[in-house]
Amino acid sequence: MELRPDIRREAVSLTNVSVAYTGSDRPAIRDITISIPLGKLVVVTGPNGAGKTTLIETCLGLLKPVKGVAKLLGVDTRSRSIVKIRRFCSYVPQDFMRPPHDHYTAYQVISMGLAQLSGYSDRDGRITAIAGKLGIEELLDKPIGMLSGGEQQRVFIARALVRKPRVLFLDEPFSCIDTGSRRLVAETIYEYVEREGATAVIVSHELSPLQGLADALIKMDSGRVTEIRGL
Amino acid sequence: MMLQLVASAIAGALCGLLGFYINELKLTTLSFSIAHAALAGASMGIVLGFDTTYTAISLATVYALALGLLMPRVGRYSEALSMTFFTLFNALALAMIYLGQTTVLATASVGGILWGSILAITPTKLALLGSVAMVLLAYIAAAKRQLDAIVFDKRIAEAEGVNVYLHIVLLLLFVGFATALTLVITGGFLLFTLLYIPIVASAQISLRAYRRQWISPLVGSVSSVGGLTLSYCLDLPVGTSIALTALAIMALSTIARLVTNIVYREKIK
Repeated sequence: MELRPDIRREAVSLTNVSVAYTGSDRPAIRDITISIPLGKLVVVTGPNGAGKTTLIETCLGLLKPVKGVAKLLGVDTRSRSIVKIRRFCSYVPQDFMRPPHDHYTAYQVISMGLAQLSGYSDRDGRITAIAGKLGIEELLDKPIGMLSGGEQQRVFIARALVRKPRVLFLDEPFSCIDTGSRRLVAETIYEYVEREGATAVIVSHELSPLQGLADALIKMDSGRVTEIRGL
Repeated sequence: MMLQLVASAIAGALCGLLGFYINELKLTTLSFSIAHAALAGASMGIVLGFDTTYTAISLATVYALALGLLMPRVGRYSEALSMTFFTLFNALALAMIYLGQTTVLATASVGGILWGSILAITPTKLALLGSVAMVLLAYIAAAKRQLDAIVFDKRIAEAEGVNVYLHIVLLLLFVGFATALTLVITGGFLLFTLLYIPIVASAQISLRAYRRQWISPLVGSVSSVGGLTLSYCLDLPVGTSIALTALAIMALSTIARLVTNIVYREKIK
């Protein structure tokens, strides 16, 4: 049976959540309580080591809380059904770079985003359309390993968007993209959020591309949320 | 002889295909210990008086399942854990082989599971081997997209709702079946020949994952049939002949790759 996310609930809800890595004596994030509704573009910012990546991996259920409750689209991330709920999500990690010998084409990489989805139609059309928006349609036949960092990053963002997710998690999505193209990528994400009523949680040091587009801002430092605006 | 040739061709292709996934998903150590569970299972069969193939399948698949289920809980210690079990299975196998060498018949059986005996291939076992290969092909065809996504990046696939651990457990189970069934062909000492050498050879022939996926079983199959023929002609142990054939193919593909690289560099100059 195919699960449907309950769109009346929050995209993400964390209640007193602490997460610690194995072997570490102190939590990477501590006592975090946030609620992110659907339809928002949320930016998470903070210095290195603030716990931003840990936060989004906790939201996705890739890391389990040692304390508190984390819910994604209304489902506890500790439950078995979280695997199915993740089908409504996309994730672009910070360390996405592929080595030069990686010969999957950009088209194949984007297409992998549809691996777990059923009932979609016009795969080629969807891939071509999203590639066109992100300015990578010319790169679709090229091996991913032969693309520059910025081009690869756009391929991964295209893979995330082609899935039409309810919740989109992007970790430093502008880190390799040139200054001129950052706004284009940010606007593509913004348009998607507006059109589909989805949520995007973007971890970024670089806030300028998101000026006037973000609905909310979460600031983090030393594993704690220090400021929440717009939620 | 035809029965043996077909069996070795299927075993080579099965192990070559599994070898691709084992290598790409970094399950080499885990598969190594599963292969030793098969060896221990076969040794137990000798002492207990059961068909060694079935006892090998039983222990290898139960262990593969347990290992797969434990993986998410033990995390980065899964390799260390599997090597701990490897020690246990090796000790068990040696103890059983020692205990089993009390009769002439048992000595022949021990020889069979240590360096392979093509005579142990029966129509029933060929049917079993063929069935496992068919089920594996059907599974890969059905889950191709998910498997590709996992091979490309496990973490992103997991974040996108692909049940990564389920697929890993299934692949480990196939490794359990494949190693247990191949044990009688290659023998316990050279059980890894068809799992690991074809993928190394295929990497010399192509860097593209989707090509290696089919080159590896082809190399496995050719090595296995070639090795069996060599064993028949030169009266060598079948496992040794298969290992030497596979290594010769690997050496040839490496030389071909080096020559191609030199020609390519000259062209650039």
